[in-house]
Amino acid sequence: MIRLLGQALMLALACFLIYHGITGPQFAPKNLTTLFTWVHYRGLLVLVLLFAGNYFCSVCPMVFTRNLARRFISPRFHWPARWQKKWPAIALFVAVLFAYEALDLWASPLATAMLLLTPFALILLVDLTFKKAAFCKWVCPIGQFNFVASTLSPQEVRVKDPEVCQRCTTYECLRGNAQRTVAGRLGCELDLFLPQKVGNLDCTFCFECVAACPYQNVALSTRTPGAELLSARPRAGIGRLVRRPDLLWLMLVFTMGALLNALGMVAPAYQLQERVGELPGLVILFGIFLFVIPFFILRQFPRAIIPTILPLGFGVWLAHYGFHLFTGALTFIPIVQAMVGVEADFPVAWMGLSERAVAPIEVGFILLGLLGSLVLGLKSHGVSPGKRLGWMLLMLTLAGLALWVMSLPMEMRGVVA
Amino acid sequence: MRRSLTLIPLLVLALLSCTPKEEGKAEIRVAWVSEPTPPALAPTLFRITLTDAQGVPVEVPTIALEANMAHPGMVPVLAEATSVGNGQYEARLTPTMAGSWIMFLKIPLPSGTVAKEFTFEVNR
Repeated sequence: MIRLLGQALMLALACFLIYHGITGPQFAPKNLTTLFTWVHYRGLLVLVLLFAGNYFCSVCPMVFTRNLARRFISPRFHWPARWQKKWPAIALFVAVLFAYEALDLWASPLATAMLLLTPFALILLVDLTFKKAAFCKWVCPIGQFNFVASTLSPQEVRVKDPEVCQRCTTYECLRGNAQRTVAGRLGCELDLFLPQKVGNLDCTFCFECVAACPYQNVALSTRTPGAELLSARPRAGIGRLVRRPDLLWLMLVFTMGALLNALGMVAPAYQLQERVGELPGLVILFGIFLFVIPFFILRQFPRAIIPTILPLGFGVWLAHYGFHLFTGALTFIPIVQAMVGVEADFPVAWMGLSERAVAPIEVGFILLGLLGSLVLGLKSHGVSPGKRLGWMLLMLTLAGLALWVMSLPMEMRGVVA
Repeated sequence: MRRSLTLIPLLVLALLSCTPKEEGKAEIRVAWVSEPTPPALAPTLFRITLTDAQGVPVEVPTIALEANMAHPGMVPVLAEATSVGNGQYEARLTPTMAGSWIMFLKIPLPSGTVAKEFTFEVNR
């Protein structure tokens, strides 16, 4: 019930943001749609993932809308077996990153509102055609970001006592429990069979399995963040990571996308675009960061060590999104004041932390991520000493690149309404 | 309970959809130049000229300026442009970073405050 309430509130917020993006002032700093979407949502998302778990998927307003629509239209098909890869989601993730830069989404309330509408349309299209959570598992780019980042979260849904599961013959965690009325009726819609579930990949924190288990043997637990990245066990609904090149690509695109997204805000990216043209410049950057480098990494290093890149990638996302959240946390107050007709001036000094104060936090996130990647890289199995050394050097190089990008003065150039 | 949950989005939307404050309707034309041109990451003098629809200079004591980065969530730079006569106003402010900026002006006319804006690019 708490989850339903959270979903309803998030839907209300999404409706308001779409409305304000369309009808409100078309200046990004004066519009709550651009502000909440690009500053507060992204910042809070990564912090909640760091300190808790995948709670943003838990309260997803798109799933709430889909569940309402499924009361009237029932899907008839299963997501085809040959489509059971992350490629569509990776393509959408890259498309969102590209559109963000090419269309200056951050500067346009209307475009941001349209972007917010898109996943609602997509989930209705996919999940009213295909059963279970096909959209969440195979299509949603936000979900993939959350799945990958939540491997570094301190919380996980898992079984309490594996022996209880060995005696179970009814598998309610997967099939659902007909005795339940609200939660637990469906079971895991992402095909995560709890006794074989490893970590947070593909887990939306819907707690269906927790509610469905007749033995109360599934619970939210704390764990060591990132440890799951070393597991070579076959994972329920996923298989072995080393046999999922799509998932490894997703992890590399997640990490290199973090660097690219930060690089898009500083002078070198604009200088390249000034030299070769805006669109060709973006194509070159995206080609290098999201295709050439991931391809090189996959060719040069054993697959078992690839997931250990994630702490560094997550550290860069945290540094970037944390910067915007911490420096602009209360910039929404003057906008709300103007909306409700309050004359009082809100002091500029109270709107957020200074860049100087935030800089150590940014560096700390990147160094923490680097440390995580180095430690996990050292612990990964089946990697020769030479490859391991090469991996360490790669991690240090990428962290150095991230620190260099973060040290450059921010420079946002885009279409202003 | 589920049905009432579905009403929450509509209720919140209704509560939040406040009407923006009515601003003055007078037609004001804004022209501006800066020193240096284009504005740079240094103290920059903005000379702003206000005229009405007939081209007659508009005289007010001061104009409130708020310079914002185009990116949301950046702390604005505030300044006050003071009249130097003949509908011209001057203010000095220092942009905090290079990139695309929007200058918001609040012009206190006797008939009500008029909001205007112009955009500018700050060089490295």
